Amino acid sequence: MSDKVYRVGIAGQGRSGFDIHAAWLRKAAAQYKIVAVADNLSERREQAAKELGCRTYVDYHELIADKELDLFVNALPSNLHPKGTIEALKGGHNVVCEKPLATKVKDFDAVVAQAKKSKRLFAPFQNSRFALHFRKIQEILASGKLGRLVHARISFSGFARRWDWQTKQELWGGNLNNTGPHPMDHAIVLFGEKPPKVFCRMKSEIGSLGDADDFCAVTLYGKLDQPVVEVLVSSYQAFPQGDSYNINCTLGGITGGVAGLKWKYYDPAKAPAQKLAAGWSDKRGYCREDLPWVEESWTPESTDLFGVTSRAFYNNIHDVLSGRGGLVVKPAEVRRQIAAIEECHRQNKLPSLAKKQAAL
Amino acid sequence: MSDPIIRVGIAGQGYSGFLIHAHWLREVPERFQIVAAADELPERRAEAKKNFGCRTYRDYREMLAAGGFDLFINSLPTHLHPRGTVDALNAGFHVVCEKPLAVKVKDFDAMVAASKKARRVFAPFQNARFFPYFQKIQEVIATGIFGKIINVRISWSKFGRRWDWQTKQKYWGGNLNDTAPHPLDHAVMLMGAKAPKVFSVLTNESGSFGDADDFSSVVLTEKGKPYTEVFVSHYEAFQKGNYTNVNGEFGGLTGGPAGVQWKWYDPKKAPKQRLHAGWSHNREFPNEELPWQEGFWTHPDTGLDAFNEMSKPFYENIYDVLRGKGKTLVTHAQVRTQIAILEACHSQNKLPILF
Repeated sequence: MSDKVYRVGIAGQGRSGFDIHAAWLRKAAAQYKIVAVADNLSERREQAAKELGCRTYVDYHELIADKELDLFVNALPSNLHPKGTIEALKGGHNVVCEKPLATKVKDFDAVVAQAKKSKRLFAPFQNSRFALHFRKIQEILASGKLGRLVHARISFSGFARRWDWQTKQELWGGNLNNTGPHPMDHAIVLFGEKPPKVFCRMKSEIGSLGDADDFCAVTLYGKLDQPVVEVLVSSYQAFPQGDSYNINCTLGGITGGVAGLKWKYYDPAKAPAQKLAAGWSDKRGYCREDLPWVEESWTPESTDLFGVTSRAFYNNIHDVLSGRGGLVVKPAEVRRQIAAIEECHRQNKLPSLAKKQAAL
Repeated sequence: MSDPIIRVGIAGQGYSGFLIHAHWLREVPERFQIVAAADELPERRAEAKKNFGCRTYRDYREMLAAGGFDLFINSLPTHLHPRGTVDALNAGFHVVCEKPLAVKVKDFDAMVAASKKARRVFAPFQNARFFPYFQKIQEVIATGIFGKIINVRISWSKFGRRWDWQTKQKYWGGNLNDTAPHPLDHAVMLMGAKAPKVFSVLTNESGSFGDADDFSSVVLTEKGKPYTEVFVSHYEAFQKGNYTNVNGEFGGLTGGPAGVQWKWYDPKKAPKQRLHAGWSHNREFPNEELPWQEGFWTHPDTGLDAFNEMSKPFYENIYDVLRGKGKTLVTHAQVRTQIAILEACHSQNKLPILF
């Protein structure tokens, strides 16, 4: 059976709409055809017309009015994600929407409600869920060899100044909204199904020329049997602190990132038998033992993160549109992520640009 | 006039009393003489007698009653730190006390009050303050090259099971009380905060055979101060970076006992940028070359082991203080801030008491 080719319209031809979505969809010609795009910049429309050979619109509302679409991709500026998605759903389109899906749960719920009402697909583009390293982390944890998850720390940090639109609160910029949805999605999945408690501190410092956060530290935590999962997205990390993913369990741990993973664990049945000591330190020593560590490593077949994740994501969307299975990225998971992000913002009211500049 | 020799009585001949305090003090017989030691284990008393030629006691209170020394070193089990210190001060001795000094501010305040009342020195043994790398880190930050400090993360973590007395709450064991006083002391110093807000998670997992925490994550915040994390986990299978990581507006550093490296740029020499009005330029992330400068410091060979490197400056300071020259470098106010943090962490995390 040959696959149906779905006709796609992409709203927004910026870094995401063009470099991520169009870049993949034009390659996936057996599954998708880009028939139209919208962008308010003329040079982007011209490039789309020329390279993608599609219809172009200035305003995404015109794209919504295009009745020849099977799928609407919302790669508009962040602050138009819920609004544009709801409008497209109302217009009768299936929608893939870029992250952040929303910054408030009520907006996300409104999107989900509209999808139900319109009986259309709403698919959050949490593409990094499909990242090979994250899938491998999930697989290693699911094997049970490492025991129970105690702590995970995910850091998407570096040292860089920024002065683009993503530094503006009014456009929903900042490290948490812009970069955070990737590690936060992973953190939420690692944390488990019970909603976490959230502790977060955000700052907007001198390296961000706008007023949105450029330092964001989040801790997800809960009861004693739940893990502590930390996310750090800092633009002031002068030296990396280990790998971007550091996962620690009762019987071992994992470290790594896009380029590969290492992990080690021991079988407690093969470990020396120890008993809680009754007296003081034995010969003034610390507890010492040789644990029977098993070490393993993994290198992905590809480190092309966007290529890999876009392919997997859009394969899933194609399956869903064709009635073959459900979404891998569940709206309920994304809802927990949005709830955490909303709580982060609630705990950190950052000053306006004028106030920030006055304080600096 | 020749310098006096300070006569020392050491309470507790365990890991700390023997391997840290006596270990250094025997190196400087012209300044300190170990004249008495107390320990409830006969083999430790015999060892002290043999090594130091000193009087020995089973109970530290017998040692206090017998007297004949100037300085009392409290390296008793942790839960006896406040009590033993107050007993010694009340008996008229100067006191050096091991960490944690206390786990409640009111106990620490009672120690300070006893010291004032008795007019005797009460010196917290926060020896990690004297780590050469920590001294270097403070020195580099003090130059101001990083601008305002944005965040600090200090991690003293590894993977290891424990089954000794330090895993029991009844002896004030656990990562927070046992290990964290060092990184928390560093944190208080680097943060420059007096009364930071505390967020903490402590858990007791299967690798601890006792009931005290073996995973401690602490975040300190205060308006205008760096976001400061102290992390002491026994489940760190792969070490995440170096002990201390400090990031500022214009650069940062990373370091530990072996060395420190840092990088920074002069904002005046950086490209001029303005907040961009439109959408991304050529769909690119902002991109620029910052004029980075780098520095590094490697731990020099001092001829001393790691403990003695810290004990030497600590006890040189104490020696001066006891002769009326100068003040203790580790102040009561700094330690009190640390104890307030410990107390807040415990009140936020009530672990079940099993032993």
